Amino acid sequence: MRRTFITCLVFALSIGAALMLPSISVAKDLGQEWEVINPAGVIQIKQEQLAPRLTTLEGKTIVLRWNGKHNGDNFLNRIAELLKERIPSAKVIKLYEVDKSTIRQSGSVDVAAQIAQVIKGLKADIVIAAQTD
Amino acid sequence: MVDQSQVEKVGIPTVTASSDQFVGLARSTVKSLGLPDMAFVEVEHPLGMIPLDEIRAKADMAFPKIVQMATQWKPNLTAIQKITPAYPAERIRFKGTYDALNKMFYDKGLSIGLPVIPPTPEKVADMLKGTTRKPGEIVWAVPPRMGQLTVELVAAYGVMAGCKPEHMPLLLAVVKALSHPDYDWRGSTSTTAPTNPVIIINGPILDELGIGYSTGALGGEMPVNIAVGYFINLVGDIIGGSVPPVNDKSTLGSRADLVAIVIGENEKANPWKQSYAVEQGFKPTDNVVTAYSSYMGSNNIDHSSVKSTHLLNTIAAGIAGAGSGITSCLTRMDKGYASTNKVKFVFVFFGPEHADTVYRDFKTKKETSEYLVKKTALPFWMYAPDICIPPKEFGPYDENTLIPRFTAAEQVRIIVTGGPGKQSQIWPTFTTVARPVSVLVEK
Repeated sequence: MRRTFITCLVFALSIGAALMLPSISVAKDLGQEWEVINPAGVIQIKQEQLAPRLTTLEGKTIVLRWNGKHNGDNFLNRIAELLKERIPSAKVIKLYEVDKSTIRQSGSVDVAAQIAQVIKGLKADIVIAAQTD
Repeated sequence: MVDQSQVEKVGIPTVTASSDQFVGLARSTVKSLGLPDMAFVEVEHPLGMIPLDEIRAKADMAFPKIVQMATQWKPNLTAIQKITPAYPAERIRFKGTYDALNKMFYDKGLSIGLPVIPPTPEKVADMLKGTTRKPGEIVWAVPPRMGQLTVELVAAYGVMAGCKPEHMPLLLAVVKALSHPDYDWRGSTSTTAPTNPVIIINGPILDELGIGYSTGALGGEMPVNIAVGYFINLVGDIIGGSVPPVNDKSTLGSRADLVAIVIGENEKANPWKQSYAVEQGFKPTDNVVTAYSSYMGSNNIDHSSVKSTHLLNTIAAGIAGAGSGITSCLTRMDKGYASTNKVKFVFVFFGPEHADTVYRDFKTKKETSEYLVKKTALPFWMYAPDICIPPKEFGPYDENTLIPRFTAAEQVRIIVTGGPGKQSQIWPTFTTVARPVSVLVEK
């Protein structure tokens, strides 16, 4: 009786295993043809002109601009010393001393435009800025 | 770099000394503003948080290069871009498994690491049925990359994140809030800080869409909150290009960079009755999205305060420490960003039980905020140098004088959210955010 039961069980398992084989082969995913929308989007930026470049700093008005990040003022203070020493004909203006409202990282085009107007009002020939992280 | 870009545009040349670890971000910012390049002098990182003699030595090293860039630099002019219409979006054809499709998306920078639902034209068309807006309408040029986000692409990102067509008005409202200048998306997504968008939702839409606002609202098993949060960061990283290590400079980042914080206010459990949106002037029947960029939040776990003031004191301790290091003292909402006016507001997400405890003695949110403004103070020595400069009218102070962080009730904003338990959360704003932006969800 016991032997008959075991024989039947082995037979049933064999049949079951045989039936599973086709499904295993089907489960192997060969992929499909996809059409998807590219989410990257396009970039349309109006191209702007850079300012004309200088060929010398002699006799120029040089504005030093600090955005408030730690040590940027110390960096620019040393640059001011070096400019006075090496290019004495240049006029050096520390923007962060003459207009403290400009000590900021605006990130905003509107605020940046206001800062640019302040600099223009100082008749700057060039701006040297520090981005100290 | 936005500032120096504007200086160039008014005809004044610039030279910018930048940390060599951040010059990549600076260059991509310049390009996104329409300039081909700018004159940079790379200085070995770090420049901040080093002693005076070291920063002066770095200036000495940089000086010859600064002069050279000021007088000899010529930009590399890039070819004029071919203008491609933003709509309809390009189609990608791909043969492979779902896994392979996801890998291709990640490899091409079209996903952020989690699997996405493929944005097939059919699924995107279904999503577009959720709005009457035209699919070709451009709703945002997303900084820093300035990718043009159309309504069609809002639908595509919605599909990718697991949103449903009925979520489209909510997604479009979220985009409108995030793109508002007061949010400062560019600064928020490129900073070294682990910032994340916080979206607070009010109105009947909460129950209509099944937005989580009770137990575990900021956790898992909140399919709408999670899908909308995932949508936001897909938009930010893919079309916006805020990806580490060049454009997203977050030193450590946070998981909320992956799925943004999206939460409903538990209006039914609010003992003060008025929802945040109603306080902002909206009607109770309006569906409203409020967005701001936040530093990482922290949790208050107060199981024992029975008196309102005792609970508010422990909340104040949490607010005092939130966003530590960058916070100024005596900040003002009506003043713009400045080194002495950083982190102008904070949201407290009161759990309903905590809200009930506070309500015993504080019958309005305004009174509650006023108390918290008064109690949220740090001794002067706990503020970072040069960030806390009390005005003359504050009077004399020394290292141990307690100085408040805020000056007005509107700087401590309150919502009630979550389920049973003795917990609340504190989410301080990113430093250049002007105010939380609230917009109507339009049908």
